[in-house]
Amino acid sequence: MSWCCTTCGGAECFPSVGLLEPAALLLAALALPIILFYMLRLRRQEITISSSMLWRQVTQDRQANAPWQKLRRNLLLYLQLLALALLALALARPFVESGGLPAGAVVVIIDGSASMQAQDGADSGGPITRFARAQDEAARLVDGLAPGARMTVILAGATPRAVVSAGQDKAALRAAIAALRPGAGLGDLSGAVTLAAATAAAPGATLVVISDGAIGDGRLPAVSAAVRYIGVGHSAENSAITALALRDAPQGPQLFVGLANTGPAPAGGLLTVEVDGRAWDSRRVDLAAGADDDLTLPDLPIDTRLVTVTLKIADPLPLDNTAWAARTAGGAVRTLVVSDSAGFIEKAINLLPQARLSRVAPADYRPDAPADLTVFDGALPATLPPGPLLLINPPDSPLLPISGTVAYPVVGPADATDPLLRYVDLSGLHLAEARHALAPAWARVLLRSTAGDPLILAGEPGGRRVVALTFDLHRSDLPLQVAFPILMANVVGWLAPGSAVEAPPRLLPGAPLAIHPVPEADTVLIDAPADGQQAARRFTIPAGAAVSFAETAAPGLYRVRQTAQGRPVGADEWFAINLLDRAESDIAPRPTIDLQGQPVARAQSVSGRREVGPLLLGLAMLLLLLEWRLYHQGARGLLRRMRPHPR
Amino acid sequence: MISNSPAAGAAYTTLFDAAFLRKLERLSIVSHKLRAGRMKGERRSTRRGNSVEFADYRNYTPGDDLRRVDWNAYARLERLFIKLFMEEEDITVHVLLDASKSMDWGDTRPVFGLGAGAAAASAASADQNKLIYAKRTAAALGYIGLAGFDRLTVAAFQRGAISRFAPVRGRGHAVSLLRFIAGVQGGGETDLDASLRAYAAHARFPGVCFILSDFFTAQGGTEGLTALQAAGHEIHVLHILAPAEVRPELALLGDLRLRDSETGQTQEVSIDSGLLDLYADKFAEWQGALAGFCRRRGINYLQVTTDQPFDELVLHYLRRRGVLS
Repeated sequence: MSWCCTTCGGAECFPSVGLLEPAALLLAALALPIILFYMLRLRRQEITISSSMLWRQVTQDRQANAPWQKLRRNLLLYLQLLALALLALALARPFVESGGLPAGAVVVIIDGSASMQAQDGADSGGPITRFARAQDEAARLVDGLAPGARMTVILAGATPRAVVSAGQDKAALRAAIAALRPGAGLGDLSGAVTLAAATAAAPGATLVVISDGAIGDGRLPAVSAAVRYIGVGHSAENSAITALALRDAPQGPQLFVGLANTGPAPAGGLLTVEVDGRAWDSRRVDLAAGADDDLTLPDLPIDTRLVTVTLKIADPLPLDNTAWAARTAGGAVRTLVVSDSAGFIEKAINLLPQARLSRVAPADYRPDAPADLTVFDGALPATLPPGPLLLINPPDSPLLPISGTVAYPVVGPADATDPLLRYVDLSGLHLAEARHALAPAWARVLLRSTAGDPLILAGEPGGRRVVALTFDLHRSDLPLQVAFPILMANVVGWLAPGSAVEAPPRLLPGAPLAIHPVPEADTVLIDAPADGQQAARRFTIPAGAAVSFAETAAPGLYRVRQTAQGRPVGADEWFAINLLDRAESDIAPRPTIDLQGQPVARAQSVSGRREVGPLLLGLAMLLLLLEWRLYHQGARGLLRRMRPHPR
Repeated sequence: MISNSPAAGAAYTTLFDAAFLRKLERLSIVSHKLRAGRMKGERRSTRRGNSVEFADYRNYTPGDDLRRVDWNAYARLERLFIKLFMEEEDITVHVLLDASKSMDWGDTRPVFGLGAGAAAASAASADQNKLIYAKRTAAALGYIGLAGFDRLTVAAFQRGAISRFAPVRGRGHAVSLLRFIAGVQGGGETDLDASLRAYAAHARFPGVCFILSDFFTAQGGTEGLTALQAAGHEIHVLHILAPAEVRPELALLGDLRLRDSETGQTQEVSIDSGLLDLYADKFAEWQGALAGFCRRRGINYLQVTTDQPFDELVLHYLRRRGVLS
């Protein structure tokens, strides 16, 4: 049972109230026996006065309704009746529709994507971001949390993270929410809903999504809980750099810049390009409403390494107005061939521009020989070098067990999807003999014989990259085929890429990347840029065969430096972290979010029911205490204050 | 002077002490009218007499005492005039004391009908008992009259009867006066009008009449006052009330059964602020009616509450109001 304003539904003028157990109001009927008992058991003290002459006149007009006159203005009775009314009302479990939530599990997902950094709101302290508004809304939900209810808070950043799990301590919840920071990349709201689904599966659970709704296609997994969507943000105006690529062209490096205006109004601004810290180009760009544009800047300096592009337009989200690009100049690969004789392999590697080849006989080989890549042709020492290995016709070893040979194996199907076999056609390969190798756990088989014997294997045992060809090149026609130099280029490029940083062309904030230090490096130093939330930081990582680095939350340029005993090894390398996502830059608040075909409309805040029964119980107890005090001490003082003394 | 016998001491020490009596000896009762007295006294009489204070002339008639002829006037006018002098006689002071049961009441301690803890708070406070207060006032007025060589009559209206203290004159009757007043006990129901009418009918010498009463009577007492005034008395009404009668919230609050001390009738009331306001209105109406009647009749009306210090009443208040000098 509830009642509220009929004109606006109670949403605007005042919160509606109601009762969860209206039948409890019948307890108010206890007032009748109280009044009856009061009338029957009214004990009057007999007092002898000088004359009742005046009192008779005073009470003359009250004699007609004498039984009721006893009850008039009886403060104690009124207090008892009021306490009874409060008790009955408290047992009826009254509630107030407010910013609170119903009792039960509550899961709050706060969108931590880059669009939540849009600054299109304001409060008493000045402009605030959508994320700050979301924090306020979440704190309000904490305030309205029903007693006994548990709240889980999930930050939907690049990787969804449960900040608080089933917490009841409101102070801790508020502190955890206040400590949240938005990310600069995409928000995995879908993953966050999946993460919340387990908690929100309990009966009566409520899932609250606080977001601007800019979540790609807006479709989320379905959950069984009741879902509320609190929308934050109101502005749709935004211009962004949505693409940036720095590539080598015949004329020299050239820069490709993609721009987008996702707002409803045309926008224009200055696009500036800095190359290696120096202004190189600046031009005005005008973007129509909702339009995309791109431009190519050719003829960048031949030694271009770092490029910063800035679109100077005042919009709520400055995060996507700057993008960075780093150009990696591949270094020389020191390749050591351990073979008895110069052969096909040496010739093939010599064709690669980055390779610096040297050869040594197996008897003269020492494991500490400096090399970025070691090729063992028909031999394998007991002690292996630390870097990547290319094994050709290897003997039996713990790294790759061999059990005999296979004569005239027929080449079977190849794994054409593997990057090592890209553009490599091995269908015409013929072999006179091959080792009967047992594929170890670390290896993936790129080529097998029709009998299932591995012919080409690749893998990363212990973080070191290894490629093995289980046949002698001289007893095959592979060196005579077109595929051979391509295969060698792929293999060497994968084994020794020439750059420690193995980064895809587009690295989003928060995305991990792998770093392959040179073998002699013992430490990797990574300098992360500053952003609006934290200062520039330096990460010191012990070098290994491969280093995984995931502290890429801040967009910008990251410098990677390898050192050995404090001395730099090789040149510094750079990689860039950019948002470059048109969907994320489209910050227009969405009116709905879609959970498997069930749209959830945006609301300004969650309306919940907050029970006020305990408050009424407290008031009733106070009234009973007051009644007890008056009963024992009398109301003389009270009435004296009520009535001034006659002069 | 007051006798120092133990009996006499016991008589007046219940009312006041000897030091207070000495203060009373300096006071006298004011009579605003010239009256013909019965005996020589210290007050101017309507009669011409032998005092040293010149009053008037009249023509000589045969038989007049030639010693009173103003020979100086005869020398100037050649006519005989007799010099008249003021006569000083006594006056009669009547002290009428209401000794009904309602007067024997007075309690300042509060009584609440809210709990058993307040049940014991009903003992009267002697200091503010109206009858004791009235008896002390009557004794003081009587002693002042005796000290002024006025004829004094004291009457107590008690149990439907009138107890009289026979007309006496002179300080020598002070002890018997105090003994009489100390022996007055409150009780019974008194019809004040009937008592005053009866007293007026039997009083042979009108004089200054003090009426000490709470006037809690259904008839209001005005008929009795009218009868006394018709008998030629100069009336002073001392309306004696207990503080709890003026402001009942001092003593009464809550659910009570009020028992009338005279009639024994009970009245159930739930006293709250509203009823107290109503009582205040009724009290003001009742007291205002009595005061208005007295004002119209030229009767000196004085309301006295028993929380007013007794010596301040006699030594100062009554002087300021022109009752004593």
